[in-house]
Amino acid sequence: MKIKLKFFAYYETLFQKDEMEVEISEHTTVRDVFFKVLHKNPHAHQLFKNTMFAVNQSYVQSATKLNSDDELAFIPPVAGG
Amino acid sequence: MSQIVKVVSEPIDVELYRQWGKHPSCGAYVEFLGCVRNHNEGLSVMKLEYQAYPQMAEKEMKKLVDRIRNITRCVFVHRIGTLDIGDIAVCVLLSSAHRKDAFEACQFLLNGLKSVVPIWKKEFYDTEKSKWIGCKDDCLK
Repeated sequence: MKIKLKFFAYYETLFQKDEMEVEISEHTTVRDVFFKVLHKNPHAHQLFKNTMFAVNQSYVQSATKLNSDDELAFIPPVAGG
Repeated sequence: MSQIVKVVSEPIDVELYRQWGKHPSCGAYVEFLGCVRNHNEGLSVMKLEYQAYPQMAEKEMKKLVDRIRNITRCVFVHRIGTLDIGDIAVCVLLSSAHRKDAFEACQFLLNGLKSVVPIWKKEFYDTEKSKWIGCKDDCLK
């Protein structure tokens, strides 16, 4: 099944795009997707610790399982104001 | 409580919100304006770029507003896009019967803004470098 990834701020710079589609299998979690797309990044674990996640525009835990057509956003540390 | 909560890309019209925010039942009126300053951590800042996850940012801002109490009117507006030094980035206006509620609500909204609302800022320096604020330097290599 397919899901859409949304990248903002630091992640948009890192991936050089603001969104992409990925193919995942059933029972795939948010955490699985994060490490799948960042598997070549030497700072992946540190980034993971500093990142929140949202599915369909609501915050979720990284253990959340994804469904087809979900929109998963990587939320780096926010800095409004 | 009446409220105006939104993320905007145009300059914030504070005077308009000031007129709307006052109410005859309120003895307290608290206003906070967050403006772009020209320095951060020893560096000269030339301008800022704010980015948001727009629908989610407004949703999270509304959730924060839903948690404040004893407020009659509330304005909670954040601007995104490219802002120059001195521009208003965030505007919080609160009216209440007594000052304690308005002061506390203002602090609560601003603390929440800086912890859960998906808005980011990039600083542009006089060295022609730029950086997204919040990610530690060792994450940016």
